[in-house]
Amino acid sequence: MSAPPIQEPDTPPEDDWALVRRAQREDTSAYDELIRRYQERIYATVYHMTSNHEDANDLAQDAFIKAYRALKSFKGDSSFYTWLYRIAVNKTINFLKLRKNRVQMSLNDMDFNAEHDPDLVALISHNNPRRDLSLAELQEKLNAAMQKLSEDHRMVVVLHDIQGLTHEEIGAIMDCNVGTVRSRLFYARQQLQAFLADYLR
Amino acid sequence: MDQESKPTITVERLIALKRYEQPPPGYFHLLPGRIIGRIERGDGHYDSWKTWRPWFSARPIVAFAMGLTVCGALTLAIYIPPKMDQSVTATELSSDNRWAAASTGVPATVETSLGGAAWLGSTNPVTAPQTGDSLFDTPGAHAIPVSLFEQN
Repeated sequence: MSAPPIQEPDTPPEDDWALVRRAQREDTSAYDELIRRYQERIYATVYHMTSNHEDANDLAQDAFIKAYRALKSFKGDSSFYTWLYRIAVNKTINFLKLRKNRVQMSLNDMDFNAEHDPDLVALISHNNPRRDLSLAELQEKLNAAMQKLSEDHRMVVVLHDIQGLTHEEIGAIMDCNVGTVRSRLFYARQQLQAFLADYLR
Repeated sequence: MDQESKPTITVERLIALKRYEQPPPGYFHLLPGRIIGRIERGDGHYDSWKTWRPWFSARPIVAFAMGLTVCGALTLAIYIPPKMDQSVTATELSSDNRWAAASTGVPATVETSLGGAAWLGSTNPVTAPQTGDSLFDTPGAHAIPVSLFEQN
């Protein structure tokens, strides 16, 4: 079943479409602008799927390059944002399937704003007085738990709980219906709850 | 501190903490330039090896076995000569027989184009048997003296 096209919430679609048309005429400055708009979200999606900065860097670049090469075939049936996401998601899932269970984590540092997050403050102060050690442990535990999920379940968690996309948007990106997205999310959270029980008590 | 006083946190909120994981400073400033640079260099047209690289990395035994097979095939190709063709020319055959006779001391014979078996491996013309009819035994095959031609 094909999901309905979604609209990128922050950027007016006209702007994207104008840039896409310029990029289709091989105007790389227009494509540069499109990269700047979506690089953080694409990188973050790939990074949270792989738990590896180097792999995320390679895959994000490859996704943007593949999108550029395929741009002439983009007719605007969905938003550029959904189309680009779909390329990145497929590329990442293919990569992970080939990689199988060989997980080599290369984690990014936590942003300094994390210190002020009430959830994180509560978790760290209650669990361990040595804050730095506890933060690193928590980060590793979270990533290890994510890597135990299947690629499809992990992708739904990344897109919904980390990226904040709606069920409809995820359905459009992953080419499945909203019911499938909901059930995958439910199952994935149950799994994560079991893996992270120590932090949830 | 007892368990009851700890704040409850849902799994969604716990996972959402991953948002704070950020790439090195300046990373997003450089990324567009890298991508555009690769596009302008023509990258991305043939990325089949990049697709399979993680598969091989994950299975070093398979990669090793494939490497070993290729090396083995190359070694065989170099050291094992190809099979001789059955239709060998008479010249090549006689040459081989001559070498065989010289090495074993046994005279070798070869079918010549005239139909008779020629003795090889012997340098003595006397001991070599006559295999064909002699010119001197053939009636009418005697040589005519030159003087008779001159008289005619």
